[in-house]
Amino acid sequence: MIGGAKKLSGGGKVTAIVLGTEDDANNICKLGTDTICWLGEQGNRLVDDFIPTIINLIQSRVPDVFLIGSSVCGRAIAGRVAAAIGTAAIVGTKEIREIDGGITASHMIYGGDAVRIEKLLGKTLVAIVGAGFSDAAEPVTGNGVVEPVPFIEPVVKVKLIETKEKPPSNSGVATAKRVVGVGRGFSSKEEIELAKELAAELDGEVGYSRPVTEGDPPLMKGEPYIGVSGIQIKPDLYLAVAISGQTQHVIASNESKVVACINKDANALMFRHSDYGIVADFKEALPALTKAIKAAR
Amino acid sequence: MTEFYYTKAKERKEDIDNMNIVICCKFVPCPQDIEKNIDGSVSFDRATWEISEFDLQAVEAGMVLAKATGGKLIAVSVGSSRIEASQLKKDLLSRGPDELYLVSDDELTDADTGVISTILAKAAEKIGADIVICGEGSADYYYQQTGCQIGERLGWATLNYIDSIEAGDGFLKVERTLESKIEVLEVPLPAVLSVTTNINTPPRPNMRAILSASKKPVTMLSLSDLGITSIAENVKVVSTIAPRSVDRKNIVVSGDTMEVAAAEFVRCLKVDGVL
Repeated sequence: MIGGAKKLSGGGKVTAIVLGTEDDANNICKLGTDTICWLGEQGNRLVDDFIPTIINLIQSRVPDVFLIGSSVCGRAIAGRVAAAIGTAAIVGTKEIREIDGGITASHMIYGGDAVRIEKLLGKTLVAIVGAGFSDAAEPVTGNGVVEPVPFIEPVVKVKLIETKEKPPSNSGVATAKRVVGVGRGFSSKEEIELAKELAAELDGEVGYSRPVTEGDPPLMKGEPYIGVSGIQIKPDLYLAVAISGQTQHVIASNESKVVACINKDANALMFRHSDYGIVADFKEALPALTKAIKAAR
Repeated sequence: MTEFYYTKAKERKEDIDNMNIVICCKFVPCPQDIEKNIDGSVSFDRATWEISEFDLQAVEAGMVLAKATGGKLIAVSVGSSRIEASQLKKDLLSRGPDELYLVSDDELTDADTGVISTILAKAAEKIGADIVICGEGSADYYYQQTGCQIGERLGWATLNYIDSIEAGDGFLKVERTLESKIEVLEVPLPAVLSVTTNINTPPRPNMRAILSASKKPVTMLSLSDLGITSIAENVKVVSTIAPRSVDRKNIVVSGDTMEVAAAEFVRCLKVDGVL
């Protein structure tokens, strides 16, 4: 995000808002930001408790662009800052450009079926960006200034009763080099084991399509899914198994270097979006592939 | 448009009985009905319209909470005159709401989240909402912004990505799944919550619910009924085009046996250097 901000600024100033330790703030300094607004450590507060403070910063400094990372709290910050300063935030921002003195942002809509470009009419563009927005900033020798920012107490308080551990999920799928996609065609956890065995042989991860995590009843409830509204992947190899090939899924995986698929329906859309395909029942194909990979690697 | 950010701090509601639970629902063209033209433009001219699928969980979450607390469930929808279709109204009311408010104006076709959230916030105030529930995002644009913006405009407790809502003693107990942990939170009322699709599995409406839906009250509100005199857009849509599809090789690998096909498949992947 800092890399993207620096590129966007075109030599202008980059300010980072940092929640964390003083060391965190100093480390961000080394990435070439001009100013660090340091909110201090989170302590027992919610990230959301800092939103009034952030709103105050944006209102007083009026940046041309306010970038926020795409996380649950990031989306909450974006929405509330946007409402407070009277704008509409852009989510899943792909690219920000300056055209004719105006700032435009592009992002996917209709589950990836279209790219929409919007032009900012107000003073500050509020844009939520994902990890793929820009290359990471390289450390530089700079002399950024860390400014501690006083905390503004929220008017309404939400109380944190407890924090629970999150059950382990397949979140490694977003960064895996090889991903085996599990689709609607799977009907039991035993069948998913076949995909996991292949993924293990590939040193990769298993990913799910949306129906697998949200179907009725969901086979893998609560797991992240590959989709425009879920996680987007760009591994070296994406192997979509028993996945029909709906746009939302294809768009979220089409930056993969090689896409392959297994489907028993030769007319499945997924074949059109694949480099290689096998028309077969995955229950036969997966064990055969696992064996063949073992022999070949 | 009049700003009313933090201007009206609604008095904190101390008891959770007889609440007015407002659910915000978006009606959208069915995503599968999109038509892509050769010039890259897209059209929904011939699409059927439906409730945005992410809002079905919001309706059900409101239903469960209304049942548990004896509250009233009120649905609100904002959009162009397309949302006035009787089949849409009936479909929504058959899923449980006691009544429905519609704010329709053709100026709201493609209105941005700033405009929509302002209208919804005004409507929630007018209806006397104690809690507003939204789906996490909409099936068409998926900005995931509307709930957060409504809450900020009202100055109420505001949380997104809620996986569970339980009525407590004068508050709501909710769970919110972040990237690395789950927060269990006590939320004072009034509040605006956006719920995920994990919160419940909405049942299909039964015949009795479908029949009784047409007898439920529907109130039409105009922008002026909500004290809104003009719509100021915050962002302007410059273009909407279908992304170019990625060229793939489309090679179907086959063999006399599955073993032969698998070996050939693996050979291809190895040649491409992705193993």
